[in-house]
Amino acid sequence: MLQPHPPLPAISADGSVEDLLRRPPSRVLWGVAPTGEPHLGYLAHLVLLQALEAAGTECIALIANYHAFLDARKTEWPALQARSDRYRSVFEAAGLELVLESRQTCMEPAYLEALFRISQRLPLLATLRSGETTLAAGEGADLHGRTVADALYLATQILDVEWFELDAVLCGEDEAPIYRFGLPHVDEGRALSCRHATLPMCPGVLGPEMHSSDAAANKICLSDPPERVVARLAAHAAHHELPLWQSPLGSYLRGVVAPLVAARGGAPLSPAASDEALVAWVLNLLHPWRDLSGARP
Amino acid sequence: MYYREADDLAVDHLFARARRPLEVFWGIAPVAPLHLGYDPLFLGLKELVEARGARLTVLLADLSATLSHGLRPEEAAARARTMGLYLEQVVGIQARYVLGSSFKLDPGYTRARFLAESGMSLSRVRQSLPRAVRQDLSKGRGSLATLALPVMQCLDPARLGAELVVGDAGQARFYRLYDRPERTISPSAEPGEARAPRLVRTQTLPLGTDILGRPLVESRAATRITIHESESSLHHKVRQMFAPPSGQPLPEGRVDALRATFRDSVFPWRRTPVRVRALGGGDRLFTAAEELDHALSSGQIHPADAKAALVRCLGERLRSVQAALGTAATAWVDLDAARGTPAARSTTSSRR
Repeated sequence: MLQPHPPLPAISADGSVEDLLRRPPSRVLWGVAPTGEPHLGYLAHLVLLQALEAAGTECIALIANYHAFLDARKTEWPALQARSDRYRSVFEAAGLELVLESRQTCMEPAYLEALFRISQRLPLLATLRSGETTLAAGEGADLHGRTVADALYLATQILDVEWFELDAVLCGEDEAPIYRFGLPHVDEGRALSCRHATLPMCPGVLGPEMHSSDAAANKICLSDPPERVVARLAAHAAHHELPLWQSPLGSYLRGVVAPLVAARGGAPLSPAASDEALVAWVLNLLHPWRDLSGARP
Repeated sequence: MYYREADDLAVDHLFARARRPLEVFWGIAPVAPLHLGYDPLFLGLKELVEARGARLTVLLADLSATLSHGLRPEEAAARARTMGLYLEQVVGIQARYVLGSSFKLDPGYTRARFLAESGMSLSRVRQSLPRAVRQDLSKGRGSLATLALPVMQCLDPARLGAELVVGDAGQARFYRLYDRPERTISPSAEPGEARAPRLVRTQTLPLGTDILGRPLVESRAATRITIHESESSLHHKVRQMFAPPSGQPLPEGRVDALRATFRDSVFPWRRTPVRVRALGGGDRLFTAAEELDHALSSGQIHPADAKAALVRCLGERLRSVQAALGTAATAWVDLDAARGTPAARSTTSSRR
């Protein structure tokens, strides 16, 4: 059961995450493409899934390995399996019970037939427009700089709602336009009953956002050894010339991750405004992945 | 592999050099009923097999029809089988007939498709599409499927081991997507696979025209004579056929549909002469298209009488086609009727 808690502070801009916690769905999916190494930006998603799983929701963590390839070949074929295995071990260390890979579903004839059908229903330019914030290359919602796979990648993301018979999807703010556009195209009226919950983007160490495919200097990996986590957090604070507590990443940890940890029943963040307390709290949260630090592909 | 268009001389050379049956490929998606406009192409395929000893593979692309026209898989497969029956048992094209659904859902093909799709820009695929489709896309219409199909079309010959790909001009345009060694497509696409690119030739075979003497790309269901046509609708369409009086210049881009239909869809398909009422009285018998052409040009026979003869000739041919197809012939029409397509309404209503 979810821990009884006072009214949640605002986590998501549209209230969708809070709604998910108040009214847990029966089946939710969070899909992530293995384009690098799982990082701090995944933490909020993982904690939310843990909270929902405890509330009886069937949580699917989908390792979208074919998406990782289709999306501008962020991960090439030879590296795909090793990265997928890596993501699986990270998700399993988080205690998630249902970890699937899109290479299993994408190869099923029935899935491919469904992909053919939904491709026929999806208007091309509008589909591309919905993926503006997630697709790696290209400019705007036209055909320039986009590949057929880009469009296909968006179609599979929309199709997964239908395929897995979801009543909720968990995504980052960058993916929200895909679901806003795509859910009405999902078959059999399921769009009406499927919600998408949007978690804010995690700030990067140096850049505005943290992504798996970013350079090492911009991300803190879940399996980073403690000394590296401390060094990266310090680098972030120094980069913004702010105490960590007040930095973009500090604000994200306090405003997004901490309420979710509280909802899951985890160790609360000390209300004392101290960088040391924040760092110690983060290191404690990352404990489940510490053993994976030496096994990166 | 990659494609390059070949002229007749290059194709001759290809056959001469092979010293074994050449692997030739042609594909069709069952999106509309077969019609007589295909006759020149089918005769070309027969010639490749019978006169030149080619080993032909015909792809009946049912899954492509699902993708492009939203047909249900079982519906598309039923239509594809009807087409195969017609080509094999009625036209007599000896070939290996392959349903697209028999291999296009395989993991190897799917991986190859994903690979090809990740390397092909949308704007380049767009260039390969007919102008009307391009305009639709520019206006925000047109589905994702529109741009996924050409890539699949390029992959299919590779998968089925083709050395020469034949098709009409519209199909040939797609193969230009992969027309250079640096732009290749892999038939199996195993991870890490690296092979020297193989050149596959493409050759354009002619298509006929519609009843208005226009290229098929400009035709509509109402201006094509399908193999499922009823007697009454055949009569109606032949009566509308474009057949200008002798000596009248043809508008640009049009041909005399009456003469073209005799040439492509009557004489190559019958052993007995064609009987036409002569203007001076009595009947004339014709055994070749050139003779009938000459008689029309010199005013020995009237186009209206030639049309009457055409209705008889095509009626005989279509009756035998429909008898050979049996329930398959009506199955197509029934499927159309179930969908309520305009083509279906015209054929089924007149059939009653």
